[in-house]
Amino acid sequence: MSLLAIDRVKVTYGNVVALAGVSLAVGTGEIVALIGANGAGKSTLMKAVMGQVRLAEGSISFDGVSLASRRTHERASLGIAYVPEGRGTLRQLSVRENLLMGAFARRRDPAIADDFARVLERFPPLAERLALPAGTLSGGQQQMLVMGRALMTRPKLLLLDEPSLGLAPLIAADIFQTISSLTETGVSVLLVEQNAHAALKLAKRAYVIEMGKIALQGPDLLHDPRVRESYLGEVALD
Amino acid sequence: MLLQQLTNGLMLGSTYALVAIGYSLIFGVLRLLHLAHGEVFMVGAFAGLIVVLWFSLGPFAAVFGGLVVAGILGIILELVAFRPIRRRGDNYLAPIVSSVGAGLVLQEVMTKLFGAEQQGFPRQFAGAVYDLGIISITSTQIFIIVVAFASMIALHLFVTRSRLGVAIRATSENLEIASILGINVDFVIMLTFAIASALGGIAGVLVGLNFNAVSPFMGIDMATKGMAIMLIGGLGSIYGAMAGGLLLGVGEVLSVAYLASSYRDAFAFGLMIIVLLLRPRGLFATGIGEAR
Repeated sequence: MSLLAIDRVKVTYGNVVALAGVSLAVGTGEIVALIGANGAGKSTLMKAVMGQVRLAEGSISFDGVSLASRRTHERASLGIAYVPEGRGTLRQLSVRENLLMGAFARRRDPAIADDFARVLERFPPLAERLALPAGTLSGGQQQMLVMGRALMTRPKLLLLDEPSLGLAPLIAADIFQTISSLTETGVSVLLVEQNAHAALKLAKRAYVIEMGKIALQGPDLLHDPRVRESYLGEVALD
Repeated sequence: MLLQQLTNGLMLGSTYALVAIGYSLIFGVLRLLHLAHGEVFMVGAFAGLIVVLWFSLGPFAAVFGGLVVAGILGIILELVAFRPIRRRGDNYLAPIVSSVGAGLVLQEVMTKLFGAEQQGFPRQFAGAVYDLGIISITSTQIFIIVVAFASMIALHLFVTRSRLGVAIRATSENLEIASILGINVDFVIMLTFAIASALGGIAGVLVGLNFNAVSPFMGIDMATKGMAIMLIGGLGSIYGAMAGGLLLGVGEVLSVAYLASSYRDAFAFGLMIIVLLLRPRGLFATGIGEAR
């Protein structure tokens, strides 16, 4: 059974149909990539999972539980960590406060301190800047911070929206490296990326979304001629 | 002489600051003005007065009474005047009108219950006068300064050291991100109203003690000043409200001493205009108030 099951979800903004019956599944410990052009509905799908947009039709369940009546903070407490596009650091809070807010729903869980230490170990630049306001960090450091903050929730599922956006190639590679190492801890990842090549290399399975519909899906889209032509900027030679 | 004025100004300013912090806290989480906050301040003052007159208790009990009653009133106002409108979607005007309405209801209820005239604390509350050579200060004035500054320090520790306090700051910076992190923002908003109102209630008791006057209409002037101070300090900034309150209190007392007492309120708003001309986002700009 899949951890996240999205079933024929339809979302509309006024008269505009953002998602026209999307079904998608993420299994436990799996990295799944979602690629598509701007405005295809990738971010809307993530917002639908977090309960930030209303479903016109369809259903979403997580860990066997229907999310229909759950509010955003309850979905977070169930184990879904969402890193929105544009990072979403709390700029006026210090790096330490940002990380500790990640563990908000865990109340006074004694393991928070261990996770805090582990996050700093994984992202050493954060350890040197704990007392600084998050707004003073560089783009790459802010991405580390939101990933670290998401890990502080001890998520079962991580929703990452454009984690490499605006980052220098070396730093982006670092972030992708981190994502791939996450699955060793049993976390599932749903990854939305503009950088289709990196996303498809990282993910076991992928979906291609076009105009609010899943156009393609499968385990080996990196070598699919249609994907190569439309999303990898290559002309299929063979 | 100057030192004496500064002391009086700090005392007055610390009560202004307590009221202004309430506006800032609530503006922070809701991006809305709570236009019944002046009446919460007034009800707090009455609660303190009742504790003293009916139960013959001392000033600390009066402050405690003001804090509790105003805090509960704040929660009720949030549930009655703000939350039902928020549930129906974005509307900037409706909560403003509903909070003005709630304020008027509170004024009239208190007038019915206690009459429209000013009432004072018993004579023994005037306290002893200590002559320290350069300044003289009454025990009531010392009490006001101590309670006001202790409240501000307690608030500072709460929003920087406690999990819920940091959650208030997180919600105030970005409500959506806060809820993604598992923070129940509706609960945080209610908690913010409780704290803002409790501080307003404390200020009500302190101002009542200072001028020895409590009336159903004492919140009106305080409300305008509180909002002016929030603008001076920077929208939604707690520390801006503290600094702005003290600045205005000192400025007001100095203007009365060296200019003329009739310019008192003109000075307050003149200061606001000058600060906003020089620093449009206030002394402690937060970035709040821009679109989010």
